[in-house]
Amino acid sequence: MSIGTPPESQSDRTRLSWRRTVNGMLAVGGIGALRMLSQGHILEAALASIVTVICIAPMYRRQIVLRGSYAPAAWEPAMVAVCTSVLAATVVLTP
Amino acid sequence: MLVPWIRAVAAAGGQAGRPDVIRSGAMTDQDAAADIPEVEPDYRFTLANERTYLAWIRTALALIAGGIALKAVAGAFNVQWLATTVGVAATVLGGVLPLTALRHWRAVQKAMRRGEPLPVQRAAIVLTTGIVVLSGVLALAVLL
Repeated sequence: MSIGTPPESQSDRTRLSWRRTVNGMLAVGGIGALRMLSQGHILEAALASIVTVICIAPMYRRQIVLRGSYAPAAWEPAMVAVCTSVLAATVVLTP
Repeated sequence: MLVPWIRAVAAAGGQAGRPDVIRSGAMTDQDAAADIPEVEPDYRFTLANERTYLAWIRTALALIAGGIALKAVAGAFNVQWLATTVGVAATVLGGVLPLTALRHWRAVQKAMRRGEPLPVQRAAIVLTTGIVVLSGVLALAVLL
């Protein structure tokens, strides 16, 4: 163990937290889009897929940023929140 | 309301706390709050706040997934419309939670930068109440 290394791994824990959220988003967005597609709602399925991809992009970016620094998140949480809400709205509005 | 003012007084070296300044209304609470210097907190607190936010997002995703599942299996219930309603309500709750979580994340970050007490997360009360009510209605839909 080198002297001066912090005895914790906050960055790794946060990165893993983002990764779990990506997995959840992929699962929910994917299942939602598949269900819409199976019911013949192609437009809604496409919208759910696009929103999922848009949501996942900043999540991956944040994971990359956290590899080398402890910089606080800037716009990524807002993007994720809006995309998740839009995904929920798409699910609700699909008959 | 008082804490920002005290901090502003301290930051101004006591000049802002002069009785004549206060009585004349030259300095309001909003002015005092605007004067507080914001210092970036320890990165551990910042990242902990970020992880809490992500936990809220995952909770919202779980609610949306539950809503999708309930809508898919609503046909298996005797009272189909009740199961569908619970599914839609769960999805709506899942759609509102990320926005409240974002608001709270920002408020906590701001409070930490200013050294103020952390704000209360009211969404937790809404979430708990919502889940209890939805579970009750769903149990009713199963029993009927």
